[in-house]
Amino acid sequence: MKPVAALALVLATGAWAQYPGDRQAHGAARSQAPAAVKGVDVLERLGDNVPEAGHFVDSEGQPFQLSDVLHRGTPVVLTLVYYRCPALCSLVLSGLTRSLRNLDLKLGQDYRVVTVSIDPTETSRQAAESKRGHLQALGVDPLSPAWTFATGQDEDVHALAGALGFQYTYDEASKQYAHAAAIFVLSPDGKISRYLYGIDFPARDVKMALVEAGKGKVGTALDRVLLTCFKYDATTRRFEPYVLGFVRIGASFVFVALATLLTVLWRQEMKMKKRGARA
Amino acid sequence: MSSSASSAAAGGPAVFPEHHYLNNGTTVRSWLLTLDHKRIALLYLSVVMVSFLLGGIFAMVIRLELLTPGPTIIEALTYNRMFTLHGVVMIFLFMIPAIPAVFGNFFLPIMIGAKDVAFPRWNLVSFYLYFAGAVLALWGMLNGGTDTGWTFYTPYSTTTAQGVLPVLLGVFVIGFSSILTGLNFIVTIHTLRAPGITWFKLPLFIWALYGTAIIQVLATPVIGLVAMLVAAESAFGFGFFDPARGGDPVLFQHLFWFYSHPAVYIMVLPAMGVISETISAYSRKNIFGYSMIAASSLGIAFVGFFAWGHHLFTSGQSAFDAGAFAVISMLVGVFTAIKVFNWVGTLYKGAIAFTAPYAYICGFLFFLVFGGMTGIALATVSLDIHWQDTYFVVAHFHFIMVGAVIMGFLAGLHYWFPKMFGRTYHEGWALVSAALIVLGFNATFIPQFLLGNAGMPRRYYEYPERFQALNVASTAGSSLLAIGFIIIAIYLGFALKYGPVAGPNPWGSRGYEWMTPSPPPTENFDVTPTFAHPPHDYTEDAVGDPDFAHARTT
Repeated sequence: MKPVAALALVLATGAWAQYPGDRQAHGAARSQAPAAVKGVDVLERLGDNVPEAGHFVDSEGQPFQLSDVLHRGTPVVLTLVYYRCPALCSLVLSGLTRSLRNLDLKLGQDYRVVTVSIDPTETSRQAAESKRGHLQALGVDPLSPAWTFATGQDEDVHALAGALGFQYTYDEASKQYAHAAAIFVLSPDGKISRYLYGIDFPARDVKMALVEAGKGKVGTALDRVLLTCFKYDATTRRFEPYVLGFVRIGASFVFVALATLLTVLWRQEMKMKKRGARA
Repeated sequence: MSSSASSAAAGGPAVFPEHHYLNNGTTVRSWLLTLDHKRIALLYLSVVMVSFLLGGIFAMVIRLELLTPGPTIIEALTYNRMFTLHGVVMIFLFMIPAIPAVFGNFFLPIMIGAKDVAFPRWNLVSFYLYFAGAVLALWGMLNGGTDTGWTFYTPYSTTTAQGVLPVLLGVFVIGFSSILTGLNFIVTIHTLRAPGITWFKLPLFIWALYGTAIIQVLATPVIGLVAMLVAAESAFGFGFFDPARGGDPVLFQHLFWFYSHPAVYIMVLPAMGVISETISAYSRKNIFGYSMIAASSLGIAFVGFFAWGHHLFTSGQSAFDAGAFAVISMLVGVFTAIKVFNWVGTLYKGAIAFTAPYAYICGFLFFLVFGGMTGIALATVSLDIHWQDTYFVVAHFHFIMVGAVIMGFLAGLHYWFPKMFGRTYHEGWALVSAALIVLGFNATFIPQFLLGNAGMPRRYYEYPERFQALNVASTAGSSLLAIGFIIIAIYLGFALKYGPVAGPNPWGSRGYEWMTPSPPPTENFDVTPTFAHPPHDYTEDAVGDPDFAHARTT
């Protein structure tokens, strides 16, 4: 799947001929973000705030700002794509859609999604078309306000992408954008909480990222326990079993078991002592 | 003096009891499937002694190899296997079970006036788990040529071609034995105490076993888990500890030492318990500061859990963590010092009998204090950076851990030998071997302190010429040690059959275990005992026992 992502990127940019050596580099590096294409990279800015004031237009043609969806207690999945994109963005979006369909969290209630076009020439009509497709695939009302598809001016888009560390370039020859395959999970207060890479996002990873970003307000108690056992692994860029988490749970279990045993034994002794004193 | 003591104690020539646990059933089956805690203790004793012999042979091979700077008797790879064998066998097969499983099993029920432990069947299961784990680990090491050292540090242990799987599995299985024994002891101490034995009338050895059992139950699961993780990584390629697969090699060190540091107290606390018993018996005086000794056992058990980071001072730990672990490690010294002062307070104005166990008590106090002080020095981060992975560390942990455990084990073995087998040994030879062992131990490890300080790293096969003199001294010392142990084996073996009959209480000890015949009957007591005095109470002279003029506390 990793080579697919790399391939998709290269096809999308039409840069195949220009950077023939990169394919090998992607294969060798076990990274999911094909970062070697010039000017295309994701520099993680975890914990930074995203600019909320940038002006965008949603698929209805209404003005939209990130502050409209932030500070409502729900984490936000943010994707930067462009709607006429022939390959990679569609793969990213449909990968996300597939993952959200398998998620037992409720769109709109537990989390929101915002998709912003990096192509300033695109219109809200194109945004609306993309929105209808993906929301239908997701099986929700195609006009649901919980997933916003927005377009915007070049400077606003750049400010947002810059804050996210998402670097992309426009390729004149193919008239396409070269960009990485990544989505962003924002905490309810607009902090960048997690980057997820690729075109296939396991529902577990997305859920973990949302639970993590939701700071205790998203998901069940069990999900939060799970989060102690699965931590984001920067090497594989996935949520992986977290050994120390398992150890902590195991150790607490042993501790509680021993404490229970000792409590029972000590209580028994106290009772016997009392009985002895009375007799 | 022992023979005169034994006859005096009984007020005439002592007679060997007709019925006792040793002759209650003589078939092999009656031994191998026994549920009697005393027989299980002897099963443990036999395997523990074989392990000690093996570990000792491996140690001698290492010392002989290091006699000269270059290759001496074995190849470099064989040398790596030897120190792995020595470490694993001595720690997991000898020191951890030695005192709790042998003397704990034998004396815990007797000392609390019970007929057996709470779960005799589990006790036997625990022995066979230990036995199976021991065989598995030994076979794995000899067959697979494990050469990782007893710490199994990753990434070497997960990538080395030499199989670590059987050894880790063996350690895993032994861990279950340790946990079962610990649970069994906890429940026994709580539920089976005879009427009249309140918590503060418990012998101090029992307090030590109680603290040890709690550590065993809490910490041992972690080593089992680490063993499984390393096994999973080396067998199936999971990336727990391998950075290339998103793992963290330092995580292994944290997990490993989270068990292995408390494990030091699993080994040392019971030895301290033995010393508390014997020091009172041989100074013929009430133990000084009973409650402080008991409480400091629990204190060491507690603090010992938060000191593991001092093994990671040079593994990329933050300066704050290192400082915190250093301070906590030094707290162990505070609790240990409380014990040492109380023991010395017990000796003060006591009527000391300079017997072999007493010689081991002296050795114990010296090794504990000397080893402990070098431990405080090693807990100082800046000094540790100089000594990390040198012979200084090797000498330190042999002093504190091996010195203390072996002294405690030998003191207990000599003190309780008459009780366990009904006969006494030759006191003269016992003193000779005690002197040889204490001197030999010093001669072996004091040069290693100097070697380490001069910069000789541990686990190296060859060393520069200038280190040779001290290495020769160390090897000579270890030979003295070996001779001492051989003498013990001879006179104890002889005493088993031909030793003078001991009688119930050859030492005039006030410990509860001496209130029953030696060797005890299968039910432990012929008549239901009453526990009028606290243990370690020498305030009054024993009735009809004029040979034992007790030191008075007033």
